[in-house]
Amino acid sequence: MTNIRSYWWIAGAVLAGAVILVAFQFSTTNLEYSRYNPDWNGTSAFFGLIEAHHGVELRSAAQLAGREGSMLLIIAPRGDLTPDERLRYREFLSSGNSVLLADDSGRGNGILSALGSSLRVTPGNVSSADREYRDPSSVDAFPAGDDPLVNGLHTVCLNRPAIVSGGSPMLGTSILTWVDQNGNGRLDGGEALSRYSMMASEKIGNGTIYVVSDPSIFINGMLDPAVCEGNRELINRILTGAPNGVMIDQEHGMTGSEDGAIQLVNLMKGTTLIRATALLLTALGVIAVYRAIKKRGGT
Amino acid sequence: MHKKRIALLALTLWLILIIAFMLLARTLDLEIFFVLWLIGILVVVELVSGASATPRYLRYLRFVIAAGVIIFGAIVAQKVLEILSR
Amino acid sequence: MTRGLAGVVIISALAALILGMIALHATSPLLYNPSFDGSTPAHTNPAGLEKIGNDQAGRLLPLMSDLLDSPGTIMVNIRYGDLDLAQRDLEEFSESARSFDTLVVNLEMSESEIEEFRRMNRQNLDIMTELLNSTSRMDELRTLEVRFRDSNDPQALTSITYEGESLRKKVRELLTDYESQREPMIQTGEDLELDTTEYQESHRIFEEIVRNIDEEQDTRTRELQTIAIPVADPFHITMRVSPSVVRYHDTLVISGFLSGPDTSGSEIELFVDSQRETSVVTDPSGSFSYKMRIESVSPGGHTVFSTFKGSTFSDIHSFTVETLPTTLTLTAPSAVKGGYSISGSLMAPDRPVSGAGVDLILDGRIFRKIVTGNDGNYQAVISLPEGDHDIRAVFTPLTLPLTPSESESRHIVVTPEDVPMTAPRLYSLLFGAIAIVVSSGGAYYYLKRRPGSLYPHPFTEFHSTNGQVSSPPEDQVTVTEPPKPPLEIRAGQTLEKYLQEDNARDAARLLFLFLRAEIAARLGLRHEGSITAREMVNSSKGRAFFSPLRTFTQIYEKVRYDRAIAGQEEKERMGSAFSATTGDLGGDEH
Repeated sequence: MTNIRSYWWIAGAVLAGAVILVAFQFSTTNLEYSRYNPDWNGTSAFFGLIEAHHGVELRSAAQLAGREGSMLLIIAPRGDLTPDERLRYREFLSSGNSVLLADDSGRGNGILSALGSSLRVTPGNVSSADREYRDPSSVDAFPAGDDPLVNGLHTVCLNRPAIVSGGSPMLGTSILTWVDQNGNGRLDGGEALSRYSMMASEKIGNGTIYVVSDPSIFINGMLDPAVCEGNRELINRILTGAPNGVMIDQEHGMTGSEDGAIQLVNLMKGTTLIRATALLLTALGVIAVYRAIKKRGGT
Repeated sequence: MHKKRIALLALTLWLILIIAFMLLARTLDLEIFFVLWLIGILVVVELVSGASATPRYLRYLRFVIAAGVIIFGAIVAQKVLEILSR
Repeated sequence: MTRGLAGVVIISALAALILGMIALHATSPLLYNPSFDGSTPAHTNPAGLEKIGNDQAGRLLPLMSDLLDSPGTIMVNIRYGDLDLAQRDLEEFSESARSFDTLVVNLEMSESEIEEFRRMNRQNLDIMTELLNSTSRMDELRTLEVRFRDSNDPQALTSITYEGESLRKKVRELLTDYESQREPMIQTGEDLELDTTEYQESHRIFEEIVRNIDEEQDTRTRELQTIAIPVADPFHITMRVSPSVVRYHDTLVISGFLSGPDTSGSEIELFVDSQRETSVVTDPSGSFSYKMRIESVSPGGHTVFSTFKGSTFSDIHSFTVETLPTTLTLTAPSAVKGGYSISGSLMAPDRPVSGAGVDLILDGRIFRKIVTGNDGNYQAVISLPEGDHDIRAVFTPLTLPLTPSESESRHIVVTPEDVPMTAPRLYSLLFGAIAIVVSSGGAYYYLKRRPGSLYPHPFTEFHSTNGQVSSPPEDQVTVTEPPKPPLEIRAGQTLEKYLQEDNARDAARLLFLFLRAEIAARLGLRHEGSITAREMVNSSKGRAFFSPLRTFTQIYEKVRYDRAIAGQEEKERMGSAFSATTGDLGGDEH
């Protein structure tokens, strides 16, 4: 009889392990830039920092009302603003707040023009001889201008950035940089060498818009551990620069992307009734197990 | 303890060990797993059989091992050809 | 359905499912590897990349700046006569140019405007080297001139003037070449935010140098005319050079006539660019002629003069070498045994360029240098690794009066199947078949061999109380006894023999052997032949036949080892202990 019981223990242990794995599987994702993605291309580490700095997740434009001296981060934008949102965002800007948009695909240009900015992001294979890794698109950017966000910063390392046009440049590449049009990773005859702007700012009313042409600086692989001294400093300054805290746009940025299971989990976390029911069921389950063990031990 | 139980436990632990190392190395390769499994089961069966005749529970297992040896031969052939053609 | 059967069905179903899923991956057994998720379109995983230092790219611009300034430094020294310093500066320039060449290759910029700059810089280096050589020679001429003037040697002075003339021509052309690069160099320099002032200044200095040489040479020529030649020279050389413009592989005809007494069979020395080219002998009429094939003659003007006995000089004549444009072709690489074959030809444009070096560039790097044949064709067999590649050929004329040229770029994609197998397909199939047959043979042998037949197996093979042969291998799968008479009957037979045996010790041994055989088989003991009675008893602890066996063993030992001869009583007691043991043996089910 002893042998059969030990089999139950082993089966139970395996089942418990499987449950843990399934729970982990459902609580994470591998969507690009997602905060629920713990892999190298997710932003889970960055969100850890946001929470440490008491940042707020923006799920609806109504949260923007009446704020002053905050910074809104839109990382890897997806989708455009609705007309109602446009009004609220513009009001947010002109009330003395700042918006930082990080984009290397050009999809954020709609949001930029809706906010009344002349800054634009032009995607392209920016490659440089001044690179951090053997990959030509691991471009180094150097501070320019005297905005407090970049003043005195060390070299910032980027990962497949795009180009920012317009505004006052804050981060730029060295002159040995080109756009690799035929994708062969080398400088060819038709590709011209030039300095390109990687980050720029523009004043709109009482507020400022910052555009960074590389959202990859926020991903786990680039942040944890930080690939360059300048990256860590820049992220720090972004999180602490605004006196009234930082907000992260989960509606319009890919940092908020979820797939089915996580949506469900978040929904459940959100609704109070479901939370209470889950708590009750867990308590009942624990009591049942306790009584079963007590009974067994008694015989 | 029955030899049968020990054999089963040993083989399972061996396979779990292989999987653990594969996870650590972040490389999951079916061919390596298969070859190591074959080695494991050959060793286990050899130890269990011993001097006396094969126990009942190992009778059908020998057919499985024979099939494994044939697949192993095919894998070796494929690997050698791969190296030659480089 | 019993629980046992249900369990077997569930497990079989699960096993079949899992085997099915494994079979899906059978063709690509590598399920996961860190390289699988190394990059997405938006970024690359830095953990999989190699960090490199920045010092290479950081050196590029400063080095280019140095190279722009170098010609000026050298020429300032030349201008003020510090030729040794100029030589040293030239060597530094050469070193830097070499580093720059390597750097451009390492940074994989061999096809860009940086490459343009590199080429022009090389050109500047060559120009500076030639300039320094020429001005050094001018300096030597000056020293010689003084000596010859003192010794009043008009012929020597003439030859100096003549050589000076060709040097002047040469330096003038160097200036033109240097000027031709001025605009592009300045443009590139400004694009890269380099300081071009010193470079622009260098042009002015070069002009000054040329002006000085002009003045010097003019003076010399004028002086030459005023020097009276004390002895009238009876000899006179007239010369003709034709055609006045030649190109690569043309023939230049230098002909002339030596007038004077007894001029047949005289040796005339011909100088091209004030270097002795050859000597010809006049024919009976005093004429001479020489055909010169234009190969490694630099483009531009050249001077020719001839002398007789080192004292009679002809006039200086000149001819111009024009550069010819070249076209370099490259055929698309075709797969052959051992790699890829590429070929092409270098033509200029209607005549082949023979014996010229062509560089083959693969993915921006020079990977092979080949030489064209007499017909201007070249051919090579190269091996290419997997992937996309760009190949082109480049011709750099060096000393030939030809323009540099590049072939078109050929793109080729090498897929894994294209990588030619050194072992032909048939052999590989054969090898595969052999391997499978061998492993099948191994599997068959494994199935057929009897388990543990590596060790001696006394029980089933050699035990035969009734002379029965041990059973065929198929039955060696369960622990069943081979068919022989039941235990009781055999025991009875042994007992009978025992009672018949007179020698007590031999009789006892009979019983003992029987018991040992049975018990060793029953308990699975090895090395039956060496088991003693004591060991037998110890192994039988807990068994049903333990106590009668112990009794038997006590008597047996006494009978066997004790000197006392067993009496009838011991014999009977041993016999009954034996019967009891065998009886219990039969009843013991394990």
